[in-house]
This record gives sequence, C-alpha cells and structure tokens, in this order.
Amino acid sequence: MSFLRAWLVRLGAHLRIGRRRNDIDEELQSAVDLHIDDCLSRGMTDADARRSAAVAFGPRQAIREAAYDQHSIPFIALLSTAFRQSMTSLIRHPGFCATAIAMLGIGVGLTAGLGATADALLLRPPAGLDAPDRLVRINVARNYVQFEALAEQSQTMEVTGTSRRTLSMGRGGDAGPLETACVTRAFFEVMGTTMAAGHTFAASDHLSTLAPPIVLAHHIWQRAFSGNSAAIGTTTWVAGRQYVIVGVAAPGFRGLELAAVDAWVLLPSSPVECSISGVSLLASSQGSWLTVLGRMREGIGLPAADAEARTIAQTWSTSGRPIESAVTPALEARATAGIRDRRLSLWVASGAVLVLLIAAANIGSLLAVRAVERRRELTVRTQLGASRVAVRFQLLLENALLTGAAGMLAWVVAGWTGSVAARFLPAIAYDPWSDARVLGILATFLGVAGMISTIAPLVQTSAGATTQPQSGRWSPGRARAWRFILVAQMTFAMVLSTGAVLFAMSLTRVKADVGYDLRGVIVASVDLARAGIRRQREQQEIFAAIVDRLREDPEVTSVALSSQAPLGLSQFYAVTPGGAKGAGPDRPSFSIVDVTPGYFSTIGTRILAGRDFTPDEVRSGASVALVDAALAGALWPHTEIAGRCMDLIPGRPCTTIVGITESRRVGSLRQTNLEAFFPLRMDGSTVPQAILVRPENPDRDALTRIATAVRTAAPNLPYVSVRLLEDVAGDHARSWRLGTWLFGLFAGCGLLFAAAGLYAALSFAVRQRANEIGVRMALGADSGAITRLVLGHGARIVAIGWILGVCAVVVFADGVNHLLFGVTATDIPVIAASSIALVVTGLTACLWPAWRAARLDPTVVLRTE
Amino acid sequence: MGGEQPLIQGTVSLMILKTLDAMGPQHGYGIARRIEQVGGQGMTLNYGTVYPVLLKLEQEGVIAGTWGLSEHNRRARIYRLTAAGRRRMVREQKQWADMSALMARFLEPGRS
Repeated sequence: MSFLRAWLVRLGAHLRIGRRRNDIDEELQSAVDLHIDDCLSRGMTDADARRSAAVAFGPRQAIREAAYDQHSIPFIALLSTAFRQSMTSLIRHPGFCATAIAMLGIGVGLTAGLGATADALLLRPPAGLDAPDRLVRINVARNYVQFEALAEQSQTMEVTGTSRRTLSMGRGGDAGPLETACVTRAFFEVMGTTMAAGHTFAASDHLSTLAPPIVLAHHIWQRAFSGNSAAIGTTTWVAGRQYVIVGVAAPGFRGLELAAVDAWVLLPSSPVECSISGVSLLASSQGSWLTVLGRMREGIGLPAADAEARTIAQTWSTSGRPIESAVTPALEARATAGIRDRRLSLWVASGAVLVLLIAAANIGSLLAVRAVERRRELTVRTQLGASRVAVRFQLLLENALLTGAAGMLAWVVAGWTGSVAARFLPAIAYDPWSDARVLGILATFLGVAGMISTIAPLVQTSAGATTQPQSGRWSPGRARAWRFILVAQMTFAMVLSTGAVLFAMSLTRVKADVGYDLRGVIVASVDLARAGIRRQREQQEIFAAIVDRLREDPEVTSVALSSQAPLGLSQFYAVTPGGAKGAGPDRPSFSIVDVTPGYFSTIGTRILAGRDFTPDEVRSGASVALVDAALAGALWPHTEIAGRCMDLIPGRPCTTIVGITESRRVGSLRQTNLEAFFPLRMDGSTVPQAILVRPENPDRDALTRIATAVRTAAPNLPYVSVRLLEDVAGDHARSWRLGTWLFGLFAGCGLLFAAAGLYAALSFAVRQRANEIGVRMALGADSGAITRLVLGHGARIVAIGWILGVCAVVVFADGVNHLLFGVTATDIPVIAASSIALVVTGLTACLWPAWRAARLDPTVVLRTE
Repeated sequence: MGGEQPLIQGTVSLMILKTLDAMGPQHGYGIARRIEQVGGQGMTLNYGTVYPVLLKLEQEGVIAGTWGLSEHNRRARIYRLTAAGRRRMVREQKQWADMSALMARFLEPGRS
C-alpha cells in the first residue's frame, strides 16, 4: 500500500513539480545554513564553516536532481527536462537548426519524391491488372478488321483492341476534354480488372447505338459524381451524344496506357467518335489505328501465341516478308513505349540522390563541428552532477526533434516534387502525398539519418569524452576526412549544375528553329465530326463562319485553316507516293497538308523560294503545291524546282511547285518531317482540322477572345480547344522541361548546400586556428595575407572538386546524351557555364570566413588563448 | 576513513525512523547529524544520502514534514513520525533483531 501511496504522491508532486522544486531548493539551502551555524557554534571561522559545508554536501546539483527525481515520474521527468534543454539548445543555435533541417528535409524529400517517381515508371506494374505477365501486344493486327479475324480464330488468347481519342464531356461552355480509350467488348475481362461500381461492357451493349455505354475512370467518377453509385445507369454527354454510364473502373486503373484515361467507350457502338477522320473505320481493312492486346489462356506460352498470331496474320499480310515478332509481352511493349520517360526518371532520381549525398555530407560536417563545440558544455554539465543518461537523452532528443522537423519538410518536398513530376510524366499514377512507397522511402531515409546522428552523441558522451578536458582540435585524419567530404560535395555540385545547364540548353534548342513562330500563333481545334456534324460541306461552312468572325476582330492580324493541327502527332498521316502506286521503294514518305492562302505567314513558316498560294489558284483548282526544303532535296536533289511542274504524286499529272518552305519539326520536336502543302479548297473535299490565328498580342486575353469568337460563330459546339502554339510545343518538350526544372532545382540545392558546407568548414577552421592566425599577424602578416590564406584553402577544395566534377561529367556523358537535344555533355560552353556557377558559388562561400579571419585582433586572440 | 563501514541498503530509513522516535520532531540536517553521532567513528553520513530517503519516507506516509523553525531560529522543514511510521519502525526493528540473531547463530564458532 505504501508503495502505491508513494507513486500517487509522486504523480501529484509531478503535476505541481514547480512548487515542490522550490521547496526542495529551500530545504537544501536551509540544511547548508544549519551546517554552517553548527560549525560557527563550534568556533570555526565563517570561511572554514562554508568550506566545511561545501565538503559535507558535495555537488549540490546531484542531491537536487536525486530529490527532483523522487518527486516525479522518472521517465516523464527525464523526457520533459531533456525536451526543455533540447529546445533551449536548439533555439540558441538557429543557424545550425535551420541548415540541418533544410538540408536533411530537402535532400530526403527530393530523393523520396523522385525515387517514388522512378519506382512508378521502372518497377511498378500498371494498377488493377490481374497477372499482367500473361498479357501480350499483338503487333500484326492494327485495325478492327484484323482484330475481328484474330478474335474469331485465336485459340490461344482472348483478344481485345484499344484506340485512344480525346473526346469531350459535357455541353456548351461546361464541356471539357475527356481522355478516352475506345475498346472492344472484352477489354476489361482481358485486362483482368474488377470494377469499382457497375459492370463491364455486356454483349448486348453492342446493339445500343442510341445511347452507347461508357465506363468512367475512378477519378472522373469521384470528381463529376462525388463517387455516388447512383450515377450508374444515368446518361452523360460525351462528344455531343448521350452515353449511359454502365460502370466505374478500379482506382488507378488505366489498362496498359502510359497516360491517364478518363473513360472507356465501346468501339463498335461509337465508331465515328473513335475515328481520326470522323468516318467509321470498322469495315476498313487498311490503316493502323488500333492496338490489339491479348491474354494468353492457361497453359499457353508466348511461342504458341506468337505462332498462332503469325499464322492468322498471313491472311492479310501482303508484303510477303516473314513476320519478325507477332506477339510481344505487353509490359515489355509498354516499357519500350515509355523508355524515354523511364530513362529520364532514372537520371532525375540519381540527381536527387546526389543532392541527398551532399546534404548528408554537410549534416555530418555540421554534427561534427557541433560535437567539438559542445564538448566543453557537456563536460561542464557532467561535472556539475548531471547524469550521463540525462545528457545522452537530451542529445538523442535534440536529434529526434531535428529529424522530426526535417521529416515534415521532407514530406512536403516529396509531395511537391512528386506532383510536379506527375504533371510532366503522364505515366505516373499515384498520389505523391499519401503513397505508401513515398512514405516508406521517407521513413527509411529519416530512420537512417536519425541512426547516424545518434551515433555522434553516444560517442560524445562515452566515458572519456565528457569527463576529460578537450582540446577542441581535430586529429589530422579527421581533418583529411572532412576535406574529402567537402571536395565530394563540390564534385557533386559540379555534376548537378552541368545537368541543369544541359537540360536548359536542350530546352532552348528544341524550341528554336522549329519552323513555326511558337510565340505568335494561337491554334483552335474544333472537332465537328465528333460534335455530330458529319457532312463535310456543313463542316466547311462552320469553319468559314469562324474564319469570317475572327477576321472581324481588329486585334487579329491573320487567320488560316489547315487540314492538320501543327505539332499534333496523331493528326499526321503519311502518304507513300511509291508502293501501291508503282514508284520505286526508295521514294520517301511525306505528309500532305492542305492549307489556305496566308497559312505560312500566319504560322510563321518561312518560304525559302517562290511564293504562297494565291486565292485565284485555290478557286480555279490549279494543280499547285509547296514542298519543304527537305522533301525538295530528297525528291529532286540539286534541281531548281520553284515555278516548275514536277512529278510529285506518281500516277497523277505534274504539280506546279510554287514555293519551297523551310523544314519543320513535328511531334516530339526531335525530328523534321517531309511535307507537301496543297491548297485547302472550300468545296467540301477536305475538312479543316485547325484554325490558326495570329493576334497582335498573343496573350491569355487573346486566347479568351478567340475562344469566345469561335463559340459565337458556331454555337453548341461540345468542346473547343484554343491554345497558344507555344503551349502545344511545351507538351512535346515536357521531358526537357522536367529535366531543366528538376536539375535546376538540384543544382540550386547542390550549390547552396556545398557552399554552406564550405562556409561552415572555413568558419570552423578560422575559429580553430585563431591562435595561429593571431601569431602570424603578431609576426607581421597583414590582413591581405590572412585573406589569401583562407581563400587559398577554400579555392583548393573548389578546384579539386571542379576537376573531379568535370571528369565525372565526361565519364557519364554517353549515358545522358540521348536525353538531350542539340547539345552534348562535353560541349565546352556547357562545362564553362557550370564551372562558372561552381567557382562563383564556392568562392563566395569563402569570402566571409576570409574577411573575419583578416579582422581578427591578435592581442585579443592571444590573450583569450 | 579506513574504519568506516558501508551502509547496508535499506538501513538508513530505519535509522531515520528510530532517530525521530527517540528525538521527536527534527529537521533533516539534525537527523543526519544524530545518525552520525550514534554511528560514531564508524560512519559518515552525507546529507545527500539522507535527503532522498526522507523524501521517500514522506511520500510513503511514514513521516510527515512541515515548515517550522530550527533551534537557531532558521526556517527548516521539520519531520515527525506518523502512526504508520511507528508501526513500520516496530516491524522493521523486529525484522532486524531476528535477522541479526540468525546471523549471530551462524557466525558463532562451532555452530555452522
């Protein structure tokens, strides 16, 4: 009972610990005073009495702490005392805390965020697929007719087809783009996914052409219907038609697509919506527009599936050549398709690891410096009677607090960088703020950082460290290790800044000389076929009305129409003048683009020789064309063709080449395309796909005005896409933008961290060598000599780091060159730019310690020593 | 100090209880001094040893402390034995007597 009572009293005392501590202090003082009184009454002098009290009571702090312990719950008391002392200690060193938290938080956050990105692209299989290793891509089938033949005849696989389109969802001003996969009925069964709500496409869905079925992606269901299962069975407007929502896919499911999918529609029920040209392609045995996938049946291996697909494909293969690979594992095909993003993500994650290494090295240095500076404080505390457990606990708690704060920062940085990366890399399908792998990587790195930083305090408080006087100087071995860390930081910073320069130069060059005026043009795309307007004459009338409406705008300089949207890869189709029409196999393929007069001046494509079409040529139906310089060079090398009638399309009468344009880049912006331009005649023969507008000021206001003008001219359109051509190009340049953005961030962090490390090292060295500097100054060294001494020390580290950094860049150049455009890692300007960044940052970090060293007063320094 | 005996654990609390029983209410320093006097040359009792035990006994309710004045008119915390403390003292005293008798029987020549 007395034991229980004692603990209850302790608990009560713990809750009013402040008052009890005052009592204890007063009682101790009273006992000392009584001892002194006692000694005085025995005839001692006052000084002897006090000396006797000091001997009798010993270190009073120890008695006090033992008494405090008696009045508290020991662990809570230890924790609260350690917490209080830790907070005091950390607040007293705000620079150290901020630097350590920032470095650890940013380093770990970047690594976790981008490590998870790399993991998502490199290692993680697509979400929601059952046994994805049994899925195959059938390379020999590329349209619906071939798909049907395979589906009917295949014994080894269950087959499905998919084709991606951007449709619209909603009507009028509320309409927005809907990334849609047009799939065949068995798609979800072949993928082996389960539905979050509703069901997959049923056999009867083929018949429902009035209100065709649609399956929504989970995120669209959440966003548009708040995850309400009552949405199943209701209708929604898609591409100007009403669709019945039959099901909702599992969270994160996107099939084998790299980019996100918002919905799946049944291809046979929506043949027009799913066609590029607005005309059903289901019955056409030509063209390659469908991706055919299969699931191998139980017990069937890849060779059997391949052999069967090969046999079936013989019925439509006309080339007579043996088929190389009829079937590829679907995950392998997906990985090949996303190889650029995967490689980029690997480099980006490597960059993040370098930042983490710099941060880790710096934190190590900081802890080491702090350890040396704290030895005296720890020794004094121990000598005053503080228990070693209490001191250790405080140091551990300090590290825990720092690691915890850094962990919060790391989580924010990881979520933020993951979000940014996901914006640039559409294949990523996870929430970077709550993804288990991000949190796992964070916890692992912080755990390791915490453990490493725990070792230091334990060493500091080892038996000798806190009881023996410390010189505060480092051994030569430790100083060498520190120099090595500083040099490594500079090397990493050099590599990272070179990466930033490389990606920035690639981004600049990929958008230069593309053959378009990216900054001055607005592109409006209106897909009338998918809006339900299918007659070509009617479509042309709407386009003509839009053009007339835009020309009324005084801010619009010129307007033109084109049969293909610029830079839109999916809109390009190649015509091989040879092949079936009898020309030689060495004649190149080229794209045919129909354009209205004024197209070239509007879009900013230069005419190198000759001229643009005239309105008369368009009206009269004259056989005229412009070709780009590359096509002219390929078809008629060393021949003056402007104004001459040339055999452009075999089997047809000659075409008068009225002009030669510069070559333009397409799609990914990496390569040029061969192009021939014909007049776009408003006679119903060709339907425009894009409206090109050159406003006086191509800004966001102009975008809004032009979108309004288009909608006014053609009301009830489901979805109008109006974008700056620069933004369209930006989509294609996203990998370089991501590289520039992230490596810029890495380089910034790397240089800043390395500079901070160098600054801390030199400042510490100046403090350590203050006596030596004082002696030098006393012996006649002026402040210039001292500045040179410190600067020289820093400059040596920067120089060695720079040399090693350049060597690392040269070694890794081959690995990164394929991600770049128009620049290589070993280009002199690249090395020069990153070197300047490194040297300027490094030397700036040395200036303050050098200045402080030069201002040391030898009389003060030597007296202090 | 070669003749000093180390204290067996748990003995200080019984010494404190016995001192308070013999002397009546007393402050901590007085208790420590009294124990030293009784122990004679054989022991030196640091106040740092006595003080935590006093606090423990007070928490267990076997002694009670109140602020009062010392013989030199200094403010001091005066401890007294409670009824529970008296019962405990009797019990522990008997345990010690039994234990020392037991040990004496073992240590007498020819008995073990």
